[in-house]
Amino acid sequence: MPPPPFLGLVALGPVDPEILRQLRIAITKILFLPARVLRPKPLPLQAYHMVRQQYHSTRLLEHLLTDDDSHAFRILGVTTADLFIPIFTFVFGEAQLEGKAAIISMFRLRGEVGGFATPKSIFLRRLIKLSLHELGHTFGLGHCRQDGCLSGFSANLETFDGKNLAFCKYCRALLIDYFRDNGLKLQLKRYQETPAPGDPIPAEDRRRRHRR
Amino acid sequence: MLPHKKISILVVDDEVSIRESLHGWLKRGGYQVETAADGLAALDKIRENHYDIVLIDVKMPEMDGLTLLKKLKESQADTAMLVMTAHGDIHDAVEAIKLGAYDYLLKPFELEELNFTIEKMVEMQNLAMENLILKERLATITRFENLVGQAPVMLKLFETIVNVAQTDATVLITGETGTGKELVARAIHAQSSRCYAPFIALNCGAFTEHLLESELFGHEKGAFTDAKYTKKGRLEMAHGGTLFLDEVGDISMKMQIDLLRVLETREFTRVGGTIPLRSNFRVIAATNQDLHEGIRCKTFRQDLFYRLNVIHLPVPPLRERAEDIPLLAQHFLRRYATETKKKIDSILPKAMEAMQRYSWPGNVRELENAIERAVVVGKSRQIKPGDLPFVAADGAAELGELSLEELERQHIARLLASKGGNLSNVARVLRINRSTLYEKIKKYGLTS
Repeated sequence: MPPPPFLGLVALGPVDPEILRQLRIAITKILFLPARVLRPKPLPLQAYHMVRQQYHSTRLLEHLLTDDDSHAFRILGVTTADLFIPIFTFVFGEAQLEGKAAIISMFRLRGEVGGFATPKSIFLRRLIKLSLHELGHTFGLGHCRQDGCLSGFSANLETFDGKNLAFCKYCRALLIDYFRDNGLKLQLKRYQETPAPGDPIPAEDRRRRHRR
Repeated sequence: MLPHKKISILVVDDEVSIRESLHGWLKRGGYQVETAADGLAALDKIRENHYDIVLIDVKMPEMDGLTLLKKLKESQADTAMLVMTAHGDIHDAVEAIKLGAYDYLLKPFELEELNFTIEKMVEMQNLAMENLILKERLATITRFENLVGQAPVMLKLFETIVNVAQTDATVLITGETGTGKELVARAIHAQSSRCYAPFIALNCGAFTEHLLESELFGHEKGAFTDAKYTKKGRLEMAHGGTLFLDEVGDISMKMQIDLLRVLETREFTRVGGTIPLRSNFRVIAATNQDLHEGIRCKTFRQDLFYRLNVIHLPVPPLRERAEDIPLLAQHFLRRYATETKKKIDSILPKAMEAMQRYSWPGNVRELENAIERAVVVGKSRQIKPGDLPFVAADGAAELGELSLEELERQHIARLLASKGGNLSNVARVLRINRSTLYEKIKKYGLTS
């Protein structure tokens, strides 16, 4: 019997292990996919652009997959370096559409909130959202136009913070279909509505939380 | 490009890394993306497929972005083009905008720039498509609006309308009153290339000479006592569209000279004005008079007649296409039953027979009025012979209860109504002169 699929987290360059741990827990909880922190990799010099002083994210995705013997279902690279693709000044992250690898950068996620340094909770929330967004691409999700959906495109941190920590019902259905077509089970509620930012938590969920 | 269709984008750039990164990013954005390495490759792709949006790099080998843009503008008018350029090439970007590009972006882009611009382009294309669909729908609706008929003469008329509409030639529509001359003129306008410009109608018989002059040419402030402000004439209003001159046979000789000059030069001056104005309009004229007779009697200028009579469209009277009466009657019944919200849905066979026997001197207009009256006065779900005005009058006459004077009064009143109060026409039908008719109207207390 083949081992159950898992998601591999790979630090590219120096990354705080505590952040990786938090990310692993969050992904496991939200996607119901076991996640493991894999052996870290150094940032490759050939992906570095001297003039822009940034790393080419597409090259880093290729680097993530070279010599990969982890048998991970998906690999998410996490780095503190600033990323770019040639046509944009920077990117928060990149993913292979329906491919195996995705990468996220923490470099621009620490933007200030109302003139103050970003609290750790907000920074972590951004990191989790970005990871799920990029992983969504690897599961075939394109940019979604539903308000507040995690798959929606965000050009800046302001719109990014306005997004929910959940996929909309359409993306949820697409994810479930994608997992089913690939012989996997995704335990998301198919037609559960995404709460809009600031919406109260449904009564049923509140009761469950209370019992816990 | 409709909202449910996947937007197709072609990326034209000689740099592989740019092509690849744009391809990947746009693909994740849910677009259908293809790439081309230079202008020639792009033209090959465009010959085979249609793209909603083309992203073009300005500096490319073989064929540069501006040349490609020019070529695409000639062949792909509905494709939106976005130019990508490096810092320092602003001059090219401005040139691209002049050539018709939607916008330009400086490489490398900010994340939100590209997304925002593409969304705007998609929105613009959706609006353009919606506009096109609405125009097509409107054209279908107004194509032969209210022109109903299956008689061979009418089918021939519809065919001629379609052919005539493709040209810009002046048209003279002749026919008895109430045959639908204005509807024919509107149909020609609706099917012509001028259909999105105004259709301006002017009933020349409804104005005195001076008023008609002011209506047609407009007037300057202070041109005459009541000219308190400058007014545009119908000739100016019809710019780009169609000018419909109804009852053109009623125009005075002086106005005929002025009109002839305008038709020849398309130039005129407002009443009281000195600046010559130009207007581009198509003329459609209509009359119920015999203009040949007018030329013989020297009441209508021969040169104006030839200027107007480039294409002659005779509209047949209703009695010459009696087979259309049921169709027209049903058409008007549906319309007035809907308007008055009455549940009248059919016409009794006897009523239909009566309608087909009747001579309809007032033509389709009289039939329309008869059905409208029948719908208003009718109390059952069907129109009965008694609901029709001409049957009621005939029935009374058969009973012999009317005096000769009363019969004469009713007959004149009916003719006045059917001829729209035109005394010359009524006198012609009655074969009496206008002064006799006028005396009788006065005697019976009728109004013209």
